[in-house]
Amino acid sequence: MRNRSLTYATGKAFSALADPTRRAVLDLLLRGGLPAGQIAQAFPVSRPAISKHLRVLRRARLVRMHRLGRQRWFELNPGPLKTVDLWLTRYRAFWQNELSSLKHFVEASQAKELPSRGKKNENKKHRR
Amino acid sequence: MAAIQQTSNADEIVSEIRIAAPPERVFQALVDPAQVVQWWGQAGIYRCTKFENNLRVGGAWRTIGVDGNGHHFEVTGEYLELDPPRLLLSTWVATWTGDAKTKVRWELEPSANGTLVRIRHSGFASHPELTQAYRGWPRMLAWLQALLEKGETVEQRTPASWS
Repeated sequence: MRNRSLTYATGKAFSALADPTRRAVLDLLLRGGLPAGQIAQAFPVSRPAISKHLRVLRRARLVRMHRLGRQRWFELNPGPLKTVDLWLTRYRAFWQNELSSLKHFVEASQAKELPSRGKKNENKKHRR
Repeated sequence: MAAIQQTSNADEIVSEIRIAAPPERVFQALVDPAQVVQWWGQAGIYRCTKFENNLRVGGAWRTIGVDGNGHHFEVTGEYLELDPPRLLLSTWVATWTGDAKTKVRWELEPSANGTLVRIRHSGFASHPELTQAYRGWPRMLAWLQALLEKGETVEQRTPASWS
């Protein structure tokens, strides 16, 4: 059940992350907080479209906003990203296991092939 | 509003803004202790409460402030190069990043209707983990701009409330 609650908590974050433009907005903010107008200028889509993306990111709590004069400033919100990372961590362990199985498989099959390779090399030496 | 450009590479974070004020005026805002505390901050984010400096090459500077959670912080440094009103280079050691010493370089270029203000924060090649600790330069430049173009001070600014 603990795992399930983690899965549900990250639902909004993952659906927000599913969109490539929204991921690009996050990449842009990785270098620092920016006003909405500046974020919009960085993309070839309309300003209302960017506003909508920012709203989705805000609802997923992946970014947070404050006002400075008439500008709305956005920056990354580390908390929910950490939850996403936490969810992925379990899968990291999984593919690392897979990788080490792959390593064992490749090394084992290479070990079988080695004698024949050794012969080839010997032949080469003789030719020289 | 003038565009804020933010670029970076492995060693350096570069942020720039156009401000409608002459370089002399911008330079003063960066080194005059009475002016620095007027623009550097926003309630709810962080603000500098004290700034002191010995404005000469080899001279020290220090700022004390309080962050949005009420925690105190301090940044200290030494002026390495001074060429008013074009250039200011100093070291930078902040309490929130431990002993790590980086460099902050301000370049002020006169332009048709004011100054192109560029800040280069370097030294991250030896402290890559710190890059994320310095994502606030664009906002800091906007605060500087608000003082110089509108006379807006930290006191007059609406406190930031995050949503």
